[in-house]
Amino acid sequence: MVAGKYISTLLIVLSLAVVAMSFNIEGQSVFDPSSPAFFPALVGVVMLISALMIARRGVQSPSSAQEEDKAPKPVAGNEDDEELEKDMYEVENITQKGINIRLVLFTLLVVLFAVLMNYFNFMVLSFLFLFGAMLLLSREKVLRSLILSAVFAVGFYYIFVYVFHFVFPS
Amino acid sequence: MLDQILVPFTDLHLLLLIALGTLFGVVKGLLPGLSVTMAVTLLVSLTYTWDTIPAIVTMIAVFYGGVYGGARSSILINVPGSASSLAHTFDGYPLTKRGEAGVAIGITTIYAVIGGAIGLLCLALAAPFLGELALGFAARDYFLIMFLGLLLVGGLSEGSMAKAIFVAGIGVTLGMVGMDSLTGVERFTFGNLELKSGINYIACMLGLFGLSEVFVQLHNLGKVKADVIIGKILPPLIYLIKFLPLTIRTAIIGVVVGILPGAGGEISSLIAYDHAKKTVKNPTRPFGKGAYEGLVAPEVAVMSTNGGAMIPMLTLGIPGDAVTAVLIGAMTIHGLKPGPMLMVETPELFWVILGAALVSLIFIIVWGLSAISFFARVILIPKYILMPIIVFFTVIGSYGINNSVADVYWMIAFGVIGYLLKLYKFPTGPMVLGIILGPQMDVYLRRAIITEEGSVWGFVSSLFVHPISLILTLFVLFTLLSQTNMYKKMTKQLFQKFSKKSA
Repeated sequence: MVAGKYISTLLIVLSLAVVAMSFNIEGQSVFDPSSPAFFPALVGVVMLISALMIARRGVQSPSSAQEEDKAPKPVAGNEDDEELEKDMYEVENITQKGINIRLVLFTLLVVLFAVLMNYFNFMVLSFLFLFGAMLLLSREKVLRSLILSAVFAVGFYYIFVYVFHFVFPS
Repeated sequence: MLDQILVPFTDLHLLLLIALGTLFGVVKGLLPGLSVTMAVTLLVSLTYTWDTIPAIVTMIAVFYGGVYGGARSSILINVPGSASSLAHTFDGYPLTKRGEAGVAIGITTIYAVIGGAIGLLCLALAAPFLGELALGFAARDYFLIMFLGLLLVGGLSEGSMAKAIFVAGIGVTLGMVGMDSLTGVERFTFGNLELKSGINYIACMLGLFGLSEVFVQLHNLGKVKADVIIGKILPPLIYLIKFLPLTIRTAIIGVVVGILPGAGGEISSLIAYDHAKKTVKNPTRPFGKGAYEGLVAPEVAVMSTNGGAMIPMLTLGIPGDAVTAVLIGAMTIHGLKPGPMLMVETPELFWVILGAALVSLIFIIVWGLSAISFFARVILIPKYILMPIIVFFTVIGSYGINNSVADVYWMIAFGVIGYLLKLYKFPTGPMVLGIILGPQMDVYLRRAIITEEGSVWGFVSSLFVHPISLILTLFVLFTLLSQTNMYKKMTKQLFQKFSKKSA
């Protein structure tokens, strides 16, 4: 529940920040209903009320939810979905730590892709991203990932340039 | 009017785009975990440079194809392709287990087309009338409708209403970043030049609906366990007549739910399934064990919801659900203004959209009843291949909006935010509605107050004086009241008394 408490606090802080920022809109009064500061302040107050209600009920952290069930569950979706997923997908032999590492590495790969867009040849960068991501997620299928990422990188490049008239960074 | 409806039927270029768009939608729809909203959002950014009609028509085709395609994975592998096809698993998958996957697919295809056509008929009849009525709406009425939309999103969202309202509030706040359209005053820009023009909501949507979904999928990359026997495809013709009353009733449910701002196919399909369960006395098999009616009801409702959702979108500029919110964004990008003036200024576009949806329904039959084994194999594409490709599309899509990497960074940021929201069971849909409706609500509220000479009390009293405003205000008050614990307790007690008496 510790994470839940942090989240509740964060929501309250966010709401207060919206109200405070509304007060800081230059040359405008939140008390004047026709000013551009009025509505944002109103929204901030509504958010604050909602945040307090959420805090009262408590936000269930994903880890505490898992502890309650003692069974591995996908994070998103309702219980029916989760049951269905358990039935239909082979459950991966991976720990929560492994999932977290995979998530962080994958996010870093996406950020790297975005950062390098202006500096690399787009087709080459697409290939490297797709290959890196497939390798990260599949772990062992190197040759398959290599061929697929090469095919997709070249194919998508030409589709985007000639069908969608995209101008990629040079 | 008829000439314009026939444009997508006769123009080869549009016909091809609709065929491919529907196919893309069907393929996407049957891939579990990837929403129709995401597919349409991707397309908004990819068709940015296209002419208006081809771009909008393609998006409509993807919308229809995607909503239909969601049922396929529910039937074949018991995993809903989208939230709106959860109800299809109840009887669809039992049919697959009986070796009747083909019939299940045949039923959903035929009734998708029937439901879609009924929804479009309602759109064609209601939109011109509502459009004319909306011309008489005052600023306060628009504010009330949008407020009602956000309230309904809160009420109908899965989980806590407080969470939905909070998320909508964040969306509204983000929507107001930039220069105020009435006064030119900067809000929440922190002096940053890039923030002056506001946060690009397409990048935001790509992050919330695309990247965040991929992050969630990374929790389990296990393979799909599937063993599918297709069997025969078309159900006996006699069922068409037998299911006709149920079809009409569930189509009405779909259209009505679609019209409600914020409510979409995920709600109408479950209501329709529940309705079928309660009203069909002698189903083909018990519900939950492969009743054909259990597939007919949600499919008709889901597809007719599309037409219903387009009614407020095209006549009032208010999204009926998340996909229509994205479509409104797409139309705005292409220089159109969805709302009452759309019917006045560009009525031809309305009829072309209607025609495109009809053509898309025809292609649903074509794609739906052919290559079933191929589609069954598409579902089995491993996630380690699919996920990087989707991320690639979201990156390209967000870059393509302004040819700027800054939009990609926004998309990634919203992807992370969306992931965290999903992790803590906050709905993401209200945020998008908030981003789109927020700035408009702000403008309409202030205009309404200015009309009453800056008096809040004058504004409040005007809500009870004018007939349209009064009706809308009563709706808002009822919606607010229906969310209170007292109301819920009262209705529960009443329901219990009623069921005891009838027993």
